[in-house]
Amino acid sequence: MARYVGTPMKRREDPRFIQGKGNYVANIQLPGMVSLAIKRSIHAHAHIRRIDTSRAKALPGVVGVFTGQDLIDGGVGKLPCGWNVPDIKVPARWPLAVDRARHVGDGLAVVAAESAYIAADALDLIEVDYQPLPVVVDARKATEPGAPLVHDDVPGNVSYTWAIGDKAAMEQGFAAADHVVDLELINQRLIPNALEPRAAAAQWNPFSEEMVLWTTSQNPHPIRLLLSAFTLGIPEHKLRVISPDVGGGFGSKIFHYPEEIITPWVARRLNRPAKWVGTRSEASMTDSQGRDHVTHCRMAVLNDGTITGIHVQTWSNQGAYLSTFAPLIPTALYLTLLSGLYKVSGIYGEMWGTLTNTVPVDAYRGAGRPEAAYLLERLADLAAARVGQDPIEFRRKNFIPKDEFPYQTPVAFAYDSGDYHHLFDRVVEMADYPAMRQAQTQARQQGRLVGIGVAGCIEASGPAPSRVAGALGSAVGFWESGAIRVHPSGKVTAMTGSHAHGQGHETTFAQVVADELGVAFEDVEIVHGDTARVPFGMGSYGSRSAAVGGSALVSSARKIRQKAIKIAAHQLEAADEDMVYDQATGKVYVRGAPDRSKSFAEIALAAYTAHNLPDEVEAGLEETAFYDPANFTFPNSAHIAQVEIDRETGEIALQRYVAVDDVGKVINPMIVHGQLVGGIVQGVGQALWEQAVYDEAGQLLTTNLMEYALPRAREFPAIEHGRIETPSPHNPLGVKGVGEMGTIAATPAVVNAVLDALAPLGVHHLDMPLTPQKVWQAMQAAQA
Amino acid sequence: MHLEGTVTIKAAQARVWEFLTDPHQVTQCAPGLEKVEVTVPGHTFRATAAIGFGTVKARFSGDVEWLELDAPNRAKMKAHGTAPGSAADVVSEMFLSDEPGGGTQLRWTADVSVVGQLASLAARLMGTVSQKLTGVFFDCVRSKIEAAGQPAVPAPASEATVAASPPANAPPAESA
Amino acid sequence: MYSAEFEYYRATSVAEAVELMRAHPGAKLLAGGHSLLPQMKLRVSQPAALVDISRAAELSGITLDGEMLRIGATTTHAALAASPVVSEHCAILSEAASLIGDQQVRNRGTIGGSLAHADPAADLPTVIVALGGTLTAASAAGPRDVLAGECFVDLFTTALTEGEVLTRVNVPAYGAGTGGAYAKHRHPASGYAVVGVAAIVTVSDGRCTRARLVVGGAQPNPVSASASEAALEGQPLNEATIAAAAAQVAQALPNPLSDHYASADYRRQLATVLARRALVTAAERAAER
Repeated sequence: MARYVGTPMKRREDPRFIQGKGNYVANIQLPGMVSLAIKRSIHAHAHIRRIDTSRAKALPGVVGVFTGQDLIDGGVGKLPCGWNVPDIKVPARWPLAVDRARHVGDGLAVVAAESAYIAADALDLIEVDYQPLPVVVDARKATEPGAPLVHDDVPGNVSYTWAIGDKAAMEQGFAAADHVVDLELINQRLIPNALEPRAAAAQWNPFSEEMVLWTTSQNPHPIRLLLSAFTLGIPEHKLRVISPDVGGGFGSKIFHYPEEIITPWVARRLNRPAKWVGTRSEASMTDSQGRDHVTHCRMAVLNDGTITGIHVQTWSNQGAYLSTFAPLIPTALYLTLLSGLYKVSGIYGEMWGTLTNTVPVDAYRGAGRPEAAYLLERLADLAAARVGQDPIEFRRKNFIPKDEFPYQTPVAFAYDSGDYHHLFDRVVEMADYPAMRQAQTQARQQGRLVGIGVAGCIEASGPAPSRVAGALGSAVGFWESGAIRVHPSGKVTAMTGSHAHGQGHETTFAQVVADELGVAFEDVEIVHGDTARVPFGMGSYGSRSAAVGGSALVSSARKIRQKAIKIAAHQLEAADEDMVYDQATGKVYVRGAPDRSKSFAEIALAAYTAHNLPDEVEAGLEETAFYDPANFTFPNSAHIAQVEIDRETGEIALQRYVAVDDVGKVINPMIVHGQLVGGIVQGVGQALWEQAVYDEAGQLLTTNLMEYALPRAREFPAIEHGRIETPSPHNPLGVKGVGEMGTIAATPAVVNAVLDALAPLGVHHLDMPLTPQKVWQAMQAAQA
Repeated sequence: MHLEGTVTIKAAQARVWEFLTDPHQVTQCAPGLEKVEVTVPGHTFRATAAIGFGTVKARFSGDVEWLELDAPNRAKMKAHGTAPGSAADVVSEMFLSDEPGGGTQLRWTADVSVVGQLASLAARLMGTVSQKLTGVFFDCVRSKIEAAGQPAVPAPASEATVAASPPANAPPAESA
Repeated sequence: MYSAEFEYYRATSVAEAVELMRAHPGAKLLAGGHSLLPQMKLRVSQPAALVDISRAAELSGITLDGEMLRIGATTTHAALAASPVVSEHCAILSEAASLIGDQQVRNRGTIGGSLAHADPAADLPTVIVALGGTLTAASAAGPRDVLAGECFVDLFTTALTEGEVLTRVNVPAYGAGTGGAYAKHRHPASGYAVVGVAAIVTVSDGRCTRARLVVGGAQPNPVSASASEAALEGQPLNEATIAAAAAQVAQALPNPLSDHYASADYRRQLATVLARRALVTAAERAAER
């Protein structure tokens, strides 16, 4: 009966974005505003002997220059870690470093000036006397005896460890195996590169002592909480945080950043509005980075291809400080996904979260699930080859059968629903996989290096049941708020705690609310991103907005319908239980007598005139819901990629990409398609091009887009795409979330394809990114 | 990054030593030199110079300190310079000896580290640039000394002209 | 980032540009600004003044003057790529121009800027050296022509002197039986030539009478693969002779640039392979003329 949900409606936010009329933090102009610029360490590790700000202060147009100590004296607090696994050592992190810089880009001082140009000039006049210290950059080497300590109070640079699974069962699985595949692999560090660099603007009212902060955040309410409780000292009810239009995040804009503290602090100190806008180079050395795992993993299999055991050891690079949710990523979003799509009883994963002199690391599109999927799919390919099976045949043999859902994995998660055999039937059919293999055989006979790669992946999305999160170490819960306010004229404002930075919620959530209430799409306005207008919400990440945010709106809508029924029943002199709410039209009528009805607009007006309401019903028509999900959701994917490698140069051509995804029910297929294609492109980016490169001195060599290679459209064939739907039983919309799934599966699909192409030459594994040089060197070495 | 090279100078060892350890003479080979200021005589001096190639030059200001002086055979110096957003450190050792057939052999090593803006911008050229700059510097030292002074002994007819040989440079180090 | 403060002057003629450069020592010329402005924004370059020549009409335009193609220094890469005159008479130049950067860069970047900046990874210097011809420059001392082969002296360094303005590029139009091709391996982030090879061959009576093979991106300046050129001259151009010539390209690259993306060895490999492919295409095109 849905009129809007399930249709590919065009996004109502797009006209302003594509005409350059979006309202971004950088656009904010306030009278008397000062521009901020931040002096950043050029050393990866150094004692700060002295900072001389006198010449900067003397530059005409400079209004103030403040160091880390000034901020501490002025009442700022340390940035907290929001996910505390047992026995974690959280190193101190101030908004500006005081006596020691611990990564290139670590902030040391802030300049406030009449213009951004003068602020930039003033930066060059700040003299920092560094005493360089020894540097460590590798996640595993940081734990070796004698490695330089990033923080003196974190011995061995190990901030935390975590393990899950049944070690005995795993060892039994390996003891029973006919073959063991053993792999050392690196999931390389990535820079998220959202289109819009981070920015912050703040305005202080000295009379009401209220602060307004505009920030490029995926979750303004949690930021407000952290500012008031920990870092800025302004009480929550006097602090308003606004995330206006935000140009992309991919996770990098979840976390609480120093600039969110520095900007309002300066605004209050100088009693002038203040604004900081980051540059791309600055973003490269301050935005939380992604991935960076060093892993040793093994898979045990029987001769017939049955997987009997999986064992993973990972050193996860946290960077120089713990970012807000850093410990979550390689623990409860990574080791808990080591079952993949497979039915395996002996799984054990363990990890070390280590500190190094690099930029902090945290969630980045996929956040832990890509790392798990990548190693599983690499092991699966190597195991399939070892037992002489086709990669798809090997996987199918091990899939969790569809009649075993909900399926409790040995690593905490219980998968909600799925049909992996059907998923792969679809992708095999769409791709005509047998024909692809035949064509590959012929190409190989001609000496061409054609490779076909397969990936079957799953993720846990829609974080999360708050109780579970708390038990795992979260300092916060992960419900979501949805409030619906029906106005007297029958128009609707829906407020969501989710925040769109590219996802199109203004459209999709309006589709949901319009269908739930039976009103026109045009009559629903979605409000988000403002702590003064929206009840507390946890924000958008982890592909949770539809599953949790959408469900909160569904809950609110249900309450609105219940009240509408009561009002209509009373006014029509019928019993509540005899009323029918027609979601197609918004009319409430007496069952069997559809002429006895009230329209949605009539009910709304009646609620506000209150001339004739039932005794127990209050005036007004607005409801709020806080929806706590019963479980994560588990979208899953089957992707097939085909590549051809130029023997002479190692260049890789991506020839074909076929993807079938199960993301549960879909609100807007056009947006879902965009999310999947964008995610796939980002996943291929990791496989072939992207890497944040640090040299041994901790210098970041990829600080701009001349060095850091992002994927380009011209490198891709048209992506062939299909979907199956196994609705999630855990939320009223049946959605599973889609933002990250494409990224998770694309990386292993392409890497497997490249290694498949190189298999006849005897090359078995290469670490990403698979650059032409790397491929060529591997071919040379294999032929030597 | 570690670099090394050798240059032969048609002058007496004492003369070469004098040139190298005199801030006002040796800085003649600093490109775009703006000023030299002796801060501790015989020990440290400050200088500002424009370092780079063609249109791409960065203005470095820094201190040069003689760490070890073993006249007239061996000298070890360290230089620390800053440019907007960058810093460079060089530790260099110079070994002088008599060249058979007259003149002085100057063997040099340099350990160069660049941090900040230039480290990332110039990453693709860092090896080549460092190699060239040090080569150009010592070549200049040779030509300034030879132009100003007389050779200590008459040059034999079969003397070969020597230019600074490009050193083997270490490949850039990296991590995951 | 924002550049440091600078003074801005606009020249509407070559004479005015020369005078402004003389009056403001250390000033830099601004045409498309796509090499200069990023450097300035990162403060690696801090010229006290910019002299904008992008609107000096004398510096624009492409004409065929007998057997020479004369290209104004402020001709954009996009204009070069789209020019029917260039495609007809010197196609390698429009081919190379069409491979520079991306559309936005090509709309602004100029041939004069590219040649004067002499970035080792640029495309046009390689092609200009292969074509031969001259670069016309103007200064307070008057105009002069610099031979293309003598133009690129060192890293980011040309034979142009301080204050000299490159006004025109003069390249010979293809004669009968001439064909050229430019092949490059693009850096996946910047689009620069990790290695770029320009091949120009002239064929007469089934034999190669002239071969030019120039490699860019592998050394500080474009390098002529002389051994390869010599191996081709007098030979028929077929798979075997081309492969044999290309195999000698590495000899011209004694100490290639090396960075994280491409080592010295890999650049030699790319140069060899791209040389062979460019020669094959050049030979095919020569056969068509």
